[in-house]
Amino acid sequence: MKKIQLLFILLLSLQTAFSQLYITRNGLISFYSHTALEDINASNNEVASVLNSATGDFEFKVAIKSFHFKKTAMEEHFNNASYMDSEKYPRAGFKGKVTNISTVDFSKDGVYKVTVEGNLTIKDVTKPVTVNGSITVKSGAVSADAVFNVLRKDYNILGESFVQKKIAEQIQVTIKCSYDKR
Amino acid sequence: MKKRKILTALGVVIIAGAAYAFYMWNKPRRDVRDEEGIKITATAIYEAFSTDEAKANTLYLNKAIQVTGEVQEVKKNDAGQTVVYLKTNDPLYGVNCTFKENPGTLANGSTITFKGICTGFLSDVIINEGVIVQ
Repeated sequence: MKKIQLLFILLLSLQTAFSQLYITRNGLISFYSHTALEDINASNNEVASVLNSATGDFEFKVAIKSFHFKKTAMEEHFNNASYMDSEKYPRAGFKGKVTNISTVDFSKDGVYKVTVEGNLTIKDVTKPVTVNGSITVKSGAVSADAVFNVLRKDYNILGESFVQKKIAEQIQVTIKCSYDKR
Repeated sequence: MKKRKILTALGVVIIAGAAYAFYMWNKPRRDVRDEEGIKITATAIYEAFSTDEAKANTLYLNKAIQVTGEVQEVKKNDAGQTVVYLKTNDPLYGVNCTFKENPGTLANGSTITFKGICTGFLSDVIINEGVIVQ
């Protein structure tokens, strides 16, 4: 019995020893909405993200008011109550896991295709999502990239009725994080 | 004669409306330099957000903040803007300041005052679109 306990403790400490956290405080997230009438895009350079190379745990958080647009008027609309309502919901985020983290060799240069499963929360609405992306290892530096679509109405991003033709149903989101090892 | 007056009035309204719409559409960017910032230290604003985020949001979110703190690290983001992390009592995180224009060389360990717009709290308190005050 003692031996099993000892083994268990040993295994746990091994896992801790190998677990590496990759952190960024200034990742990039942008989105793009395309319709025949108008293209809309905005970007945000203050993504906070943590990737655990041992467990595959992955999360990111974004401040809604950090999204900047070319047009101030658009930025104001984006933040108002009928869209992101950023006074009430200042933050959005994702929490999940890279399901095939064991296929990524963090000590070897390469571009590794990964699948991330987890929950995306926008405006306090949480939905499960699965996203394909990649983890790049280049001379020891680790970065992650993904492009995915968000069906805006799933998260109550509605907008006034008269602008519906100008806003795509599917919003394309691009995320790019360059990590520092912790 | 009456018809003409109505038409003229209508014309004026339409032109004024179009001018207003044009102004709104080309509304200039918010410039933090035109605003009086709320003066606070990096340690105090981080403390405020980490203890009671909802309350801190009512006080600081979307406001011009003039924050003073010690430079922990300076880096560039993907857009090429300078980012400075100001030290707080937290060992990992602090106040994340993004400059809208290059502030020149800032040394780690020096104390700076930065004025920008607070966009919320993640792991850091985020302040962007900022300028150096001193």
